[in-house]
Amino acid sequence: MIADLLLMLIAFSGMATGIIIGRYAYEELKPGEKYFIIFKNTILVVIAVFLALNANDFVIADLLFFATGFVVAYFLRFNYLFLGLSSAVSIMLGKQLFVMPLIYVYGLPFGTVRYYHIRNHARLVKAILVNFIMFVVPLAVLYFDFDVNMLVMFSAGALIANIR
Amino acid sequence: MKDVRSKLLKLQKLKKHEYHHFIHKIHKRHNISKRTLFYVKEYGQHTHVSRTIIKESIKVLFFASIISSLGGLAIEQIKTVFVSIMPLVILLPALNDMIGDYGTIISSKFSTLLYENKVNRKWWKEGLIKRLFLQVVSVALITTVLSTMAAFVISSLSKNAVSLDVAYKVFLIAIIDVVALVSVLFLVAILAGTIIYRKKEDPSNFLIPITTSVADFGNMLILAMLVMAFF
Repeated sequence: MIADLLLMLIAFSGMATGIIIGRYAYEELKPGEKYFIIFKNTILVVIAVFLALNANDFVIADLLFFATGFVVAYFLRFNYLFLGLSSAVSIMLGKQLFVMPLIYVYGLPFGTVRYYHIRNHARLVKAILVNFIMFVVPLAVLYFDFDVNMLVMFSAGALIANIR
Repeated sequence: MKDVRSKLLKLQKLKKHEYHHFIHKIHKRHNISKRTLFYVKEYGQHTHVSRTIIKESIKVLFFASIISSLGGLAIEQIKTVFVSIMPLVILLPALNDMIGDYGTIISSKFSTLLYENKVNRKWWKEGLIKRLFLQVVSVALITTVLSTMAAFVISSLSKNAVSLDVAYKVFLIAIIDVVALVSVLFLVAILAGTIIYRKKEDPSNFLIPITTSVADFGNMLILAMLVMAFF
């Protein structure tokens, strides 16, 4: 568990690293913003597809969970909450070494774009803290006996809804 | 003015020597800095820039190639363990190239600092050197974490996925390797750069091959040692 938590910490550090990169390469942010957004969206799709492909048996109920995840995430626009859920699901599946590194990579453009739009240090620290809490809260699902298939499809749908 | 130009043209035609008396003569008479005159002689028009660079670098390039190839011997010692850890196999060329690039950055930045006279004898107390070191180490750490993560993703897709324990060890090995090597490269660049500069040679021509070969050799050697220690 501690090993997984440490891995989550490393994965989350991508956002902080992205902010640092944004700070030192500010002049690159304006021309690069659209590419950063395309890059982070691509990573969300890759994680979502990977999770969906890892669903044990594809039944019609899975589509329902996918749609529920999509609708919930569409209104609850907290990227890191659903990335945290994906991390918890990846731990359940034993695939954390695929999902967590991708979350780290996702954090780089996410943090950079955040820095470009916020720039205020106090607000940036607040954004990091809020996102971190959102990211670790879904770990709680590990203590309950949820159906893995349901969570996999729910988080896949949620990640697709976060593409914006 | 015409007099100066004709003398500068004459200077460009001189064969390469460490320090030609003609430089001193023009410096005294026309008050042009010795460093400017050195560059007019070495790199001015019609002075065969490429020949000068090749002549200065060829010996050190051969030396660098021999050193780089020695690094392979270290890896040979641990090839069985090494090949079984997929992320390390993916990381090796990435780290080699990356650390070599840091060697180039350190060398060129340090050469510029030398020419700008911003490095004193007590270089370890210089704010600019400390800043350069911190910048390179931070960038090296970010890129190392990124490439290690990419190595994990790629190895997860293959049949040789590693366990979490092994992943942490690989992560630690990469971080230790990069921090140690960047520090070594820094020392090599500063010591060799200062000596070369005192001999009134262009440090860039020597430092870049030296640091990149030290990076190649050192990376394989340190990786081999760390793999033996961790696995």
